[in-house]
Amino acid sequence: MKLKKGDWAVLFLALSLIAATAVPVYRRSGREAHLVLEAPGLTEVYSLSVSREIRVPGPLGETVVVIDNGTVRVKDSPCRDKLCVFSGTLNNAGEWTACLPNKVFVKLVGKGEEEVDEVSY
Amino acid sequence: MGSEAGCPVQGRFQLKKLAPGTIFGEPKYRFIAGLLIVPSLLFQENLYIKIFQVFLFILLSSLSGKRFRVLPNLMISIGIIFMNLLTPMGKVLFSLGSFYLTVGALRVGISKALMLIGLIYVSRFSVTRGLSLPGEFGGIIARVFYYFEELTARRGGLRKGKRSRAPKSSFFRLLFGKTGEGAIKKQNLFDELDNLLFSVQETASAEGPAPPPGGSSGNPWIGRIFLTLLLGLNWVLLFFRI
Amino acid sequence: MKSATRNYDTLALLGACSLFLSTLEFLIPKPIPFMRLGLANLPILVSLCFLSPGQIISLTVIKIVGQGLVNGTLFSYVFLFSAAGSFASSLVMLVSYRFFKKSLSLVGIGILGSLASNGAQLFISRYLLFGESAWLLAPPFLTLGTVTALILGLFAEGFTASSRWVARQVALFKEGSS
Repeated sequence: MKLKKGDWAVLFLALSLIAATAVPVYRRSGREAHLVLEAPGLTEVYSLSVSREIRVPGPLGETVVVIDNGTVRVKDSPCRDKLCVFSGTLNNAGEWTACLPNKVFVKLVGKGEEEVDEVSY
Repeated sequence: MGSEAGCPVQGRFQLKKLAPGTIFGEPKYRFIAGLLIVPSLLFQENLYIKIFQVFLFILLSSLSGKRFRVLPNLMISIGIIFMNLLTPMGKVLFSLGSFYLTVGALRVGISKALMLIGLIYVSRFSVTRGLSLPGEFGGIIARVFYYFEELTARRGGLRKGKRSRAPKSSFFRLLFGKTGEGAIKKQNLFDELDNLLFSVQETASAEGPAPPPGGSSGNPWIGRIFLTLLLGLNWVLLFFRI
Repeated sequence: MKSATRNYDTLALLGACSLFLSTLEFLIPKPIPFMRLGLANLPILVSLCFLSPGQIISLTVIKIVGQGLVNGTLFSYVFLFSAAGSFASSLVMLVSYRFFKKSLSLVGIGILGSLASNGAQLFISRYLLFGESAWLLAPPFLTLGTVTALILGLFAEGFTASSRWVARQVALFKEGSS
């Protein structure tokens, strides 16, 4: 059985496609962060790849957190000053914001990072 | 019910013979019913109702004679659930390093798995041997199944009816190596395959493909009513809020 | 018309082989059952040399429908996968056979078909079933598909070279088209 020249080319193509899909996928999942929400009695984790609106219940009411195109921001919160809403967007692992009056913690945690540091209110 | 008159002792056997053809309706209507039931499964949001639907169809298709094997279905479900768990969503139940097992993801995974299994069993239930697709295409499919039976016929196995001569070889023999000449070598394999292909075609031209099995005995309306009820049930379930 | 019936008949036979192979494949337990090995493409690969493109497409349809009926997946996503993958694969194989016959053997054609099939299936699983995590599956499935295609291609090459049945079909085909 003879393999023709083109066959080797095709084989090479196949191998490069495999490599091409393997490298970014495995690298990206290493760097990708996910959203961790903490509130009294509740810990939730969300992937950044699906845009959605999340309501986090706290003692004062619901804090609304929005995932939009891979970024996170607080859309609304029942606190008086709304510092959390104005603190801007979270983009990368390690960034965080919080609504202290409502006791809601919003942070982006990367893969491989350890648990949330202890924070005292 | 049914045209077999009074043999009360044989009640059980009678039920088995009646059920597939009559209670569930004629093949054509079963197919249409199945087709119409599919959207009701797709749109169903409630997990518990879905579980019910899935069990219902597994039951129905088992009663129609299609086997239900736990393992492949379990593997499919686990596969889907696992893949969905990789995208975390919601309350964390369990975490291992940077992998979080979340309620939301679990729910989505289970929901999708149920939907798929449900669809599979709806189609198993709605597709029966007697189904003849219209026109030339239906003819080819019938022939394909005929050849399929021929190719997989086991030597001296349980064959219903007219198979008086078993084909000289079959796919199973090819695969499991009992060619009579000992171990399978490449050339043997090809030759055996050749023989198989030639012989199957020859017997075919001699016989002509088998017609689909005949219609069922008994009242067709039982089947139609059953199917309508089944269809109705599934659609009504869409509106239940538990 | 004898030759028309003959073709019809041969198509059915090939379809049945395909059915057998796909049932075999379905029974093999796999971690993620959607991505299939593509064993059922073997009859298509083998018949590239004696069926017209239209017939190959018909064979593909037969393969898809037959699989759906027997495996009971006719109404489900699996059917969609099966259909997309098979069509992508057959089209790619047809095109590569037509234009690259000189430089490709059935091995190369088979691998291209497998890449097309798996590619199509990856797209569908990304959007319908798994979401982003579907891409994680890409490397192992492309690898598995390529390896299987390699083996099937070698088998197909060997078989078409030495089979009398295939030779007969080729002769009939040439006879029919002249």
